[in-house]
Amino acid sequence: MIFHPAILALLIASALSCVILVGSAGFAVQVLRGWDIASGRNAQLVMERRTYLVSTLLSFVMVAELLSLLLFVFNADKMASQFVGAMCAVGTLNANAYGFPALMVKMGVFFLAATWLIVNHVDSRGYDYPLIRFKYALLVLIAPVVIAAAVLQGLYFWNLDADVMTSCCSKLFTSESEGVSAEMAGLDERMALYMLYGVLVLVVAVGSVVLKTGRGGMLYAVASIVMFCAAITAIVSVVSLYVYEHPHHHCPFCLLKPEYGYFGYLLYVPLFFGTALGMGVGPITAFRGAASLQAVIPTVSRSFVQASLMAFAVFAMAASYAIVSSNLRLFAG
Amino acid sequence: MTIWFEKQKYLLDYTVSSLMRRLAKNIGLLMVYALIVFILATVMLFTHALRQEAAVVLDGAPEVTVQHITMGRHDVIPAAHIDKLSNMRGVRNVHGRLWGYFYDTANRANYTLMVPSSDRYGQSPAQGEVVVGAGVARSRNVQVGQYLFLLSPRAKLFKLKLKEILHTDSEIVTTDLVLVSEPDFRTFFGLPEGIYTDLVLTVRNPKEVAKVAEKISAILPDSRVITRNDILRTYDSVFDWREGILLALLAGAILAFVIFAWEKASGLGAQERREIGILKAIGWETSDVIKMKVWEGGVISFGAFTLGYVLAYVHVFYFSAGLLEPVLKGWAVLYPRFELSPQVDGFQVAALLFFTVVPYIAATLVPIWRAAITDPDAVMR
Amino acid sequence: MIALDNVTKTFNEGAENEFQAICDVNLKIVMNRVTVLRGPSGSGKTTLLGLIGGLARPSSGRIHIDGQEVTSLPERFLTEKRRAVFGFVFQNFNLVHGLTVLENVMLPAYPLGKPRKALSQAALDLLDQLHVAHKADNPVQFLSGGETQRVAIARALINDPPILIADEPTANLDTALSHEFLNIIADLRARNKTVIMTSHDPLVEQAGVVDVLVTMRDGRIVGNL
Repeated sequence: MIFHPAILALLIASALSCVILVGSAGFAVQVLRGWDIASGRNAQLVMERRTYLVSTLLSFVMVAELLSLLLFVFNADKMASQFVGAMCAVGTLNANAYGFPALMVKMGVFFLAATWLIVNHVDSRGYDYPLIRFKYALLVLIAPVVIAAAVLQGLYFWNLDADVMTSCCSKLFTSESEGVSAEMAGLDERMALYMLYGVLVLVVAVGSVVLKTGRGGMLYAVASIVMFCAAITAIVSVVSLYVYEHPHHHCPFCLLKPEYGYFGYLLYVPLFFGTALGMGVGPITAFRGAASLQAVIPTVSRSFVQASLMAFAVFAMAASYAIVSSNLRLFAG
Repeated sequence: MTIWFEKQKYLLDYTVSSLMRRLAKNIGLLMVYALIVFILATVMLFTHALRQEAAVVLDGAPEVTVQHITMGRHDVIPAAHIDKLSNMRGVRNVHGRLWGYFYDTANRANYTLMVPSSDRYGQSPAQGEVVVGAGVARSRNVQVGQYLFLLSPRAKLFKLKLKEILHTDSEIVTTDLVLVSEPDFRTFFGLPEGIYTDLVLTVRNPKEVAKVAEKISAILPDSRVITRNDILRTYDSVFDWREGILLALLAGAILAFVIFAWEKASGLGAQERREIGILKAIGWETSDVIKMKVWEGGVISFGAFTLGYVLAYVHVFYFSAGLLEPVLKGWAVLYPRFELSPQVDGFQVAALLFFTVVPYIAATLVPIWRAAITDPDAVMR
Repeated sequence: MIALDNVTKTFNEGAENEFQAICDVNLKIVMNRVTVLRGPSGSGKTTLLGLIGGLARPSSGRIHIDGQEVTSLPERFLTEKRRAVFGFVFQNFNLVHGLTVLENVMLPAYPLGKPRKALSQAALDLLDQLHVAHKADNPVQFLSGGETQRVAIARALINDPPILIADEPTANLDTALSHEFLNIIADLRARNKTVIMTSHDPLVEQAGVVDVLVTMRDGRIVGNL
């Protein structure tokens, strides 16, 4: 199973990421211990030069991780035909115990990577590298998560066996079974819609405050996370029903299939990016007080919040379009 | 935003003129890079096209095939089983198939002798007539209206009038087919009435195929049940596996390329080093130099990828991947001649990028950084 | 104003060939004047010039430009400052071969992302003032010595810096061209630019252009007129 081009590509990318991260983590510890921008010592100059390399390598890795999540999901969906009982990515991921954990951790890496890229961007705008310690501390935190994702992904692909019967999404995303997926599927549809649009209004409100005053970034970050949870729940509970035009098909992965026009990507890509951008605004707001960033942070916060709101808007429009244009009628009248 | 845009234009400008100034060195790199892309793309495009072809053709395979097993091998099946299976719930239609392999000593080739159960492959031949695939016609050098002579396993010579040659569109599966009538078939192989090669059946509800297959195994314990899905999955797997093995073998080539790229990127000539020193001295930051060099890598990657991919496309779809055919298609005497329909899969292009451009960028990042941190006051000394 | 306090520069620190190029230099450069650093070869004047212009960092001591301390600025911001404040003319001119005259002049402004039309017009204007505009599209390899120098000056002035720094500018020129160069310097001073040069050419000192003469020997300042 491993000798599948997409799988090989994912494994190579993960291996590269791990190597670069482990190397950078060593440098990160050096920085955390001895960084002193005011000293003209040779060691300090060497560190400053090294940060160019490390930042470039890490940016490369983080972008690769963002793309890798997309490729992983796309590949899982495509490979479904090779597993008995699988009709969508759920079947492929359920083929062994490592599939879903790998996906979850990869999603975690996605958000952490996006946050790191945002922090790195802001750090480079301040003339005394004000966020450098935070940035490298964050890196030391991210490294084990990336390694965990790589290991889980590796175990998943290594243990993939086409002879194993796997279960279909209809078994997982139904209110009769147990677990988070069941809870989401079982949520009352009307409730889910109210929640989705309610949270959307909240996010827009908080976002407007940030755009106007340049303050409130932390609050927006929290609102983004809430939006993400509400959106996923709404997708499983109600939006998917409209896309499939079936009152009991809750699967969030079948949306990605070509027969539904790859509609899932139109929902998930803006949602993920909107959340990632929103989350990133939180940490940088904490450094509002730094002298070198006084002018930078409000500007950067505004542009990220703006981008995040636009992404959420695209998501909301896609979801609403699915509901309005569907032949399914869930609510009488 | 416009400032950023203008800046990128300037950097790209400088990059292109810089590449032109060192044309010889860069052409060499471009050629090697393009070659790697060419090889990988050829493998991927070819297997993908074959896969699509196979899927289309296998669409016509029977939903469920039941074969009788004796001492672990496929044996003929009694017609009595047809009734047993017809009475099963969920089964719509059962009939027996007659087919077998025949080795033609004259051409040292294997033919598949078959009684057509439908008009799928053209008109069914009457007794004394035969319909053959294009490969058979070619190797035996017969045309419609002429006679085909076959020596049966019972050493009897059969003279059959060639009624039709099967169309080249389906050559991939029909090339070695010899279609005869049922009486001729039974006489040829000495097969009595009431016996078939295997049974095929259709199922009322496609979702129930697996269940039906299970039940058949229970009713007929000495039989093997094969579903269409099984076949499709197996082919998919084999194609994947072959493709993957080839790619893995090419890992050596990719590694060599990566090392080559690293060397090229590290081997800054004195002239280039001087130039970077000047740039640093007149006001370019380290990050500007890095960006410029990344653009350089980008331009080379884009050029090499496009060149390699286009050449691979032409190679696969216009020259039938002549260089790689033996490895990928398998080995046979009767080679079907068919044209693969050109297709490009976005997913595949993405995977190809991962295999070529990503390692190249990774290999060049450290040398780029080393070049970019040149001391600005180096030019003064 | 540029102020150097107790500046020292040591090369190959800690190694066998450790060498102190500049030792405990205290200097204030006055604006709108022409300052010349003179001294025999090996006196450290080129190194000092590099430190003043922000091309290198001192091993110890502090440098202030217009009151802002630049010694501990990270490279990125030091480069920004340097780009805005200084224009450099190197001893070997150091133009990029393979590019045209116009491209060479525009090069220092590339990272700023100014609109192309405006930038090339500014470059042409500078070349015009220095009487080399007719060579704008020529590759720099085919220029004469004097033309090369004027292009180098134009490049140094593209970002309109208040200070021009030149390292041994007349070393590769004959007398006539040297005089031409000194006329350009006088012209710049008249336009309120500051000029800092190193030189051990007597022609420079005698030209009447020099306002401040700083003499160096063995890495120290021994005279300041």
